Amino acid sequence: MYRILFFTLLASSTLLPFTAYADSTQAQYEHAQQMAVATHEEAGKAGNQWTTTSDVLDAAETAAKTGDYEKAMTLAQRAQALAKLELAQAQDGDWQKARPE
Amino acid sequence: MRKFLVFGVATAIIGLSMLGGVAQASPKQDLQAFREYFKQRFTKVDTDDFVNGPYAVDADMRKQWESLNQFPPYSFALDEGEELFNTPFGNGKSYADCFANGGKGIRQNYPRFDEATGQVVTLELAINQCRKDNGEQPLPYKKGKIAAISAYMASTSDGKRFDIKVPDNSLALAAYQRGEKFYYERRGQLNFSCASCHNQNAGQKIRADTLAPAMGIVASFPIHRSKWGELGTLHRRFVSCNRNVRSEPFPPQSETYRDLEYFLTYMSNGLPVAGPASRP
Repeated sequence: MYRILFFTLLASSTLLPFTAYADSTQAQYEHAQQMAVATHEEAGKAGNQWTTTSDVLDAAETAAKTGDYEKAMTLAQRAQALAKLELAQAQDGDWQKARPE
Repeated sequence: MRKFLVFGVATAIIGLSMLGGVAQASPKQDLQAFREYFKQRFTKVDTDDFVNGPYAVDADMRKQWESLNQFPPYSFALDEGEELFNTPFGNGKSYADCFANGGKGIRQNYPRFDEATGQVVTLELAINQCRKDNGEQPLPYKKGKIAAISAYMASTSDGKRFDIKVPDNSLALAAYQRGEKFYYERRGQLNFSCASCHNQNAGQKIRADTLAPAMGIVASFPIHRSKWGELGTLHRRFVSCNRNVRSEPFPPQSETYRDLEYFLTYMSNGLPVAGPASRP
């Protein structure tokens, strides 16, 4: 009886951190994906989305669906960085300098 | 007193000249500057020859193109376009009933600004509007029948000179300016604007392709691209250009692309209609 209790406690204490880690990775992915989508949409409203960002966002979603949150989180963070760049490009008001004078 | 007067006049002159530098140029001024830019870049190219795109600036490509033109690859599509154009709709009417001059010799006036709707109307949009008005389904905008009909209509304007108007209307000017902004704005992960390729690097190679100068670039549409193996519309080309620089394209005949076409065709004013044509 004590043996069973001992092994149950041992197994729980070993696996719990992994479960907690998985949960936190999923949460991090969801947060990063949400931020990336919001910035990507903002760039879309300014008429300037990159196909690269859309592709990386799709890849992150696919990885999350298969349960690979580690990969999903990395991709979502990359999408977030790309979305910030496309938004910055959209807000660049320097286009007039390229016109022939 | 005289000193004050001189100072006042001088200040006013300086102020006005500074204002002139900041103010947006008119479409006419834009066209003049645009044309000068390309004439100075390509001193040996005859003005009308700019409608031939890369072939105007690349002698080797031109030789091949001239051989190809003995049997143009778009001939069958052109015949199909003529047949479609002349086939009556279900209600007995035809495309000829929707356009001025029976739809012949009018390509040079498109796109036009429609003051009633406050929108830019391209030839392809007008073709589909004609179909809808006559109870027919609209055609997809990138290729196929609409490209064939548009090609036939362009062929009836062969040699006529583009005469795009930006009327004295704030909405028309706004559409023109949106098109201009889109043309010069950098987009996509590759950070290219339309002008990066077709102004600054016109005549240069990008991989195996020679970049066509922007002046006259729209005059040959619809085009038969070897890459497509068929005729395609100008908006199909816009979509592929945007994708090439990794920018999400807009739907064909969206307001964004119609405004871009409006600006670009205005920049071809005075040049002859040369569509349909073939391109690599």
